[in-house]
Amino acid sequence: MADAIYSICTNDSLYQYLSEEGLKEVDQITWEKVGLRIRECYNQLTGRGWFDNWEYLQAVKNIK
Amino acid sequence: MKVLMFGWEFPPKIYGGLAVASYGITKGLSLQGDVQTTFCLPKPTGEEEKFLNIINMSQVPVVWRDKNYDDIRDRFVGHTAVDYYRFRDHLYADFNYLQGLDDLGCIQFAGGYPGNLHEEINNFSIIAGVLARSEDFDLIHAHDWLTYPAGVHAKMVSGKPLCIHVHATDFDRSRGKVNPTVYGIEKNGMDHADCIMCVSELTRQTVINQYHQDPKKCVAMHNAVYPLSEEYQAIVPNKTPDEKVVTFLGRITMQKGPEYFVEAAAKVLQRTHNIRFCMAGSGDMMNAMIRMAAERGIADRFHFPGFRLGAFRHRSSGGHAVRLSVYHLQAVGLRRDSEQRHQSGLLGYRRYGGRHLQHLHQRQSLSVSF
Repeated sequence: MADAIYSICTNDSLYQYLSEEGLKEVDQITWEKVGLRIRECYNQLTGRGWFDNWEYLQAVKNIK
Repeated sequence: MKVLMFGWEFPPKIYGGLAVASYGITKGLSLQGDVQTTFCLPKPTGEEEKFLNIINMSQVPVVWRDKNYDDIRDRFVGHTAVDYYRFRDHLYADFNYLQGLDDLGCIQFAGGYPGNLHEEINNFSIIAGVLARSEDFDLIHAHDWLTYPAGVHAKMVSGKPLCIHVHATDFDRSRGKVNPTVYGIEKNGMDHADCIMCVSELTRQTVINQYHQDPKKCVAMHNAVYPLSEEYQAIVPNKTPDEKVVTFLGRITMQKGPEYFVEAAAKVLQRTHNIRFCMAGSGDMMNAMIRMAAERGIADRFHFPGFRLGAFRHRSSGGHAVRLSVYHLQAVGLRRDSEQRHQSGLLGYRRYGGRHLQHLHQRQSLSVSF
């Protein structure tokens, strides 16, 4: 971790890259998408009364 | 779809990350249009947002009291006097022996995390029995171990599926040295749950391996973030070209591993001197960290401004943020992380099995071994 902190403090291009790409990535993580994923779990539970993680992962793979 | 949700915190009253996560999850569900959430809180303030129904557990009767509508109609926060009568029609046992019953026949909650927390958790589950009988719902969702007994009770009464949300486990909080009572409550909730939502894949593995749950019913459900408020966006970073600021954002508690940050700071300062370190948080390890910084001889480059002031100063400084968690990292989940979201130089680390740290963003992977 010390090496990583040192690198980002001294390497301007790394600093810039993390700033831009990190922001882009985190901007994709929204509560609306979390709501959609939870809804898929709810649908499984109310539809048949049990949950299967593998089927869930297949169902939500398009929610990026 | 109607969801009966049990939670311990909800904004605007925030004790920790649970309130913000509960808000985000309910908000995300409300955006779908056809999900009605009834959120049961021990002691709401009445200032909660109105996109969901709030039930004030401190005003749900567990004992019958003869009350005139005109005398009580203005006394309710969250639900209404009409709801009170509906709840009163679904009492299921004699709880007159309970301490602290008020004139409405309700059990009072202190709110937050008082000394008699286990008693409050039990009382919460007693009230859940009334709600499970009186409310119309399709599914139960319980947030964190505090509300698992309520969720289990509601499931036993109604037969509806139970989904529990694992925001943290006692294994995370105690680094493996669990409180057996808390562990027992967590395990019982998981055993009865039909679906276990974990805030990260690492927490999911903890649930599977340490709580012996079926992997099929465990799902990683990462939290999200909120955009930074205008108040914070308006701050123009006051950068000093010759000096960098690296900030630790989070509680200064064992779970977050603040000592690793101090150790790393000491190593960095062996190589360069134009970096300042800031621990923008508070917690029971704060004094120990102040002493540790002094022992390493870096106290002149280390600052402890407290949480809110610290977060503000971090934003102002335009520095780098480090978010540490020893046993799991919630995927950039909570409001304080929205700080990091708009910061330059986001760094997030987690430790896998005590062996190595890995950068939060796989594409920018910077792995460091201990």
